[in-house]
Amino acid sequence: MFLAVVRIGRREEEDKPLSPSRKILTLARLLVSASACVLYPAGAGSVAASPVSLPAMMLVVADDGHDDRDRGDRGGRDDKGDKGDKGDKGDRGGGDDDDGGGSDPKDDDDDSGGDDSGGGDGDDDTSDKEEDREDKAEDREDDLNDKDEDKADKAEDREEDEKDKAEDKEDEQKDKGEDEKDKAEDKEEDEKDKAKDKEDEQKDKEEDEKDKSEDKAEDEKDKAEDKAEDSSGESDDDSEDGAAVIGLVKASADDVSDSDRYASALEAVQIDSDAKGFDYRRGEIVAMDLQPDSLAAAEELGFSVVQVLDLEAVGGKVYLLRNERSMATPDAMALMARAAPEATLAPNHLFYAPSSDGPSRKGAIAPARAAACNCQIAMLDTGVEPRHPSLSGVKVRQRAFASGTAAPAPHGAAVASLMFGEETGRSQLFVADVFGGAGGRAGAATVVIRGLEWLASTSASVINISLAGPSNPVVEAVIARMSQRGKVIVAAVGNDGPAAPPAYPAAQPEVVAVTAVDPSDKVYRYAVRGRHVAFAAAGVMVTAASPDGGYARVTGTSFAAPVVAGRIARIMAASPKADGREAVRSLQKSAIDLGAPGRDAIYGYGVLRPSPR
Amino acid sequence: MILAVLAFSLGLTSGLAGETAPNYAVGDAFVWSNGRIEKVRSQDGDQIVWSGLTGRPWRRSINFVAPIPEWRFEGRIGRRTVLGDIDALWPLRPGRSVQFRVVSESRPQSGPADRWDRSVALWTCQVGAVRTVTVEAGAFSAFPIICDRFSPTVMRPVARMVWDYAPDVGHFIRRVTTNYRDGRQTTVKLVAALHGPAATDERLESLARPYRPKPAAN
Repeated sequence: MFLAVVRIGRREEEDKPLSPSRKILTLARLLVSASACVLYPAGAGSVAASPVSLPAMMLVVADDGHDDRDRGDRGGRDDKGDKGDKGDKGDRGGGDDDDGGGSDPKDDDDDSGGDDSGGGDGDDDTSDKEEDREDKAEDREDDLNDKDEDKADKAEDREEDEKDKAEDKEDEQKDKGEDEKDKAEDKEEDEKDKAKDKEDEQKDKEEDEKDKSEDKAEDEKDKAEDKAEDSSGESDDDSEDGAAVIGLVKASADDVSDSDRYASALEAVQIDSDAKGFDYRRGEIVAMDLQPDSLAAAEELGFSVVQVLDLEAVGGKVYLLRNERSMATPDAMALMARAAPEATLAPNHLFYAPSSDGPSRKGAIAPARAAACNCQIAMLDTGVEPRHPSLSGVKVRQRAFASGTAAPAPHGAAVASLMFGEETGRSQLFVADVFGGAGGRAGAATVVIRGLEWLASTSASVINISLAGPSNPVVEAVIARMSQRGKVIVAAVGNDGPAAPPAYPAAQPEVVAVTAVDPSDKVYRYAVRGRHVAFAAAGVMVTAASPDGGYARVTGTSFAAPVVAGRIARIMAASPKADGREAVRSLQKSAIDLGAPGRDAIYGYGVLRPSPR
Repeated sequence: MILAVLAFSLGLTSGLAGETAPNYAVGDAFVWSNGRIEKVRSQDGDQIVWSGLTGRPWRRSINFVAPIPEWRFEGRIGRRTVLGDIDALWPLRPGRSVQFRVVSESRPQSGPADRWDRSVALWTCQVGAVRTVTVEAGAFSAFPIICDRFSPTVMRPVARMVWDYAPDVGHFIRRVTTNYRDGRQTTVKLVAALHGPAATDERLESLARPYRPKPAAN
C-alpha cells in the first residue's frame, strides 16, 4: 500500500492557484501513478480525521473553492490563521510557517519536498519515508493544537492581566485624587472638630456628673435585683425601669453619650484596608499598655488621644489615638512603634456582623428545649429579643456599644436562643451589642474592646463570640487577659470557606474555636478549617429564635458556637470549683471523634451535642 | 412533542451530579499561585460566569475539565466544541473514565466571520484514587482527574492535564499541565478560596499580591 500526502491546488513557486484544467491533469497523473493516495484538503480541519474513522485508503481531492484552502494564500499575511493548515505549510515554506514549522525548521524543508507534486508521481516512496512524512504532518498538527490551546489559555491570562493593570492604574489615580480630597477634608474636619471638642468637653463634664449619679442609682438597683432573683423567670434588660422593651433597649447613660459620640465620629472617618484586606478607620491607632513617656512622645509626633478605655475588669488601658498629620496608617503605626516600643498597637479595625446563610422560615417550629443550664453566659454580638420564648426563665442584660441602643437583630437573637434550655429563672445572659442594632453596622476594635470589658466585669464565666474578623493584636491581648482571669472564650471559626485563612478571635490559642456540622455530622460546607478548631456542633439549618418572636432555620458556625458555650457553662455551673480549662478538658472526653482520629483541622476533638434533657 | 418533553426533562436532570460535583455560590472566589483571581459572578444551569476583580467575564462549564468554549487573544477569536459526553466523568469515582474530542476553531477577529481554522484533539480522562494534596490553602482529600490529549491520528500523547479536585472545596485545588512535546510543566495551586461575603476585592487582592509575577526590571 502506498500512501502519499499530496496537495493539489496551487503552485508553490508561483504562489498562485492552479487552473482547473491543470488541476484535473495533475489529479489524473496522480491516480495513475499512485496505488493509493491520501490527499488532505489544504487547510481542511482534521475534524473528521481520527485514528478510528480514517480509512486505510482514502482519496480526498482538495478544491480551490474551499474556504479553508484559501488560507494558504494568507500564509504570509496572517501566520496565526494557519493553525490547522497542516497541508499548507509546505506551500508556504519555512519562512512563512511561524506556527508549526517555525518550531522545527527541518519540517518545513522536508515538507516542501514532499509536497511537490513530484513527490507524488516521481517517488517510489518507501514506507519509511511515508511514515516520516505522516509523522511530520502529525507533528505539525500537534503543534497547531498546542498553540491553539496555548492561545486560549493565554487569552484568559492576558485578559486578567490587562484588567488587573488597568485596575491598578485606576486605583492609583483614584488614590491620588482621594488623598488630595482627604487632605482638604481633613483640614476642614480638624477645624470643625476643634470647635466641637470644646463644646463636647463642656458637655462631657456635665454628662459625667450626671452619669456618676445615674450609675450609682443603677448599681444599687442591679444589686437589689440580683438579690431579689426574679423567681418568675421573666427576661429582664438593662433599661432603667427594668421592664422589657420590645424593639429598642435603652443602654446605660454612659453608653448613650459615648456611643453617640462614636457614631458621629464613624461618619466622619474614612475607611481603609490593611495589608490583608480588612477594613479599619483611617488614621486611628489602638494602643494598649502605653506608658506616660511614650504617650507624651506620641503627642509630640502629632498623635492625639481620642478616647481612653480604662479596662478595670480586663486589666490595663487602651488608647485610641489619631494621627493629626494625615499620615497613612501603616506609616503612623511604624512611627508609634518607635515611640512606644512597649505598647501593643493595632489599627482600629472594623468588625462586621458575621456572614451566614440567610435564615429560612420554612419548617421552623419551636424546637424541643434542652436541659436547664442554670448558668451565666455572656455574648458579644448584636442585640437580642429578651422576651423571646427561647429565653424564658433567663434574665437578660444587654448593653449597646456601637450606638445608643441595643436592638434585637436576627443574628444575636438566634445565637442567644441556642445556649439555654428549660430555664427556671436561675440563668442569666449578658449581651454586649457591638453592631449597633438591626442595621448590622460595623463595630470598630475599640467598640469590641469596650464590649469585652463590660462582659469581663459580669459574673458570666463563659463568653460566646460569634463573629470572625481580622487579627487585631489589641483585641487579642484583651481576650488573652480575659482568659488568664478565668473567662472561657468560645468563638465561631467563621464561614469564609474551607480554603480560607483562619479568622479571629477563633484562631487565637486562648479561644475555644467551634465549627458547624449538619444533621448527618458532615462539616458545614463553608466552615473555616485549621488546627485551631476545637469542637464541632450543629450549625446547619438549625432552628433558632428570630427577633419577631418566631423561629427560623439558620446556618453557619455562629450557631454552633453557642451550643458549645452552653455545654461549658453547664459544667462550670454544676462544679463551681471547676475552672474553664477543666471544663473544656471534660468536654473533650464527651466529644464524638469524627474525621482523623484525635484532634483534626475539620472537627477538632469532635462533635458535641446540645445538653440532653 | 413527546421527544421535546423528554429532551427537556433530560436537560433538567443532566449535568454533574453527586456529592462530589463542583459546587459554587455566587461571589465565591479563588486565588491561585500564579496570582490570578477567579470569582463566580453568576451561574446559569451548568454554565458558570467567571471574572477577575474587574473587566470582561468569561463563561465555562461547571465541569472544569471541559475547555473554555470561547476566547479572544491577540486579534483572534476562537471557539471550542466538545464532542462526547464529557460530563460522564461525574460523579467522580476512581477508575471512571471518558473520551471526547475537542474541535478548536479560530479566526482573525477582523476577518471574515465564516473562515475558521479548525483542528481537533482527542482526549481521555480518568479519575484516580483519592489522595491528600497539600497546597497553600491547606491539605485536602482530592480526586486526581488525569486527562491526556492525543494526536488525533496515531494517538500519540501530546499533553497531560491533572486536576486535583477537592470535594470539600467544591473546586479543583491544583492543576498540573505537562506538554510532552517541549517537556514544559506548569503547576497552579490554590492559595485561598473565600466564600461570598468574605470575598471582598481587598482581601482577594491582598491574598493574590504575593503571587503575582514581578514586572521585569528595565
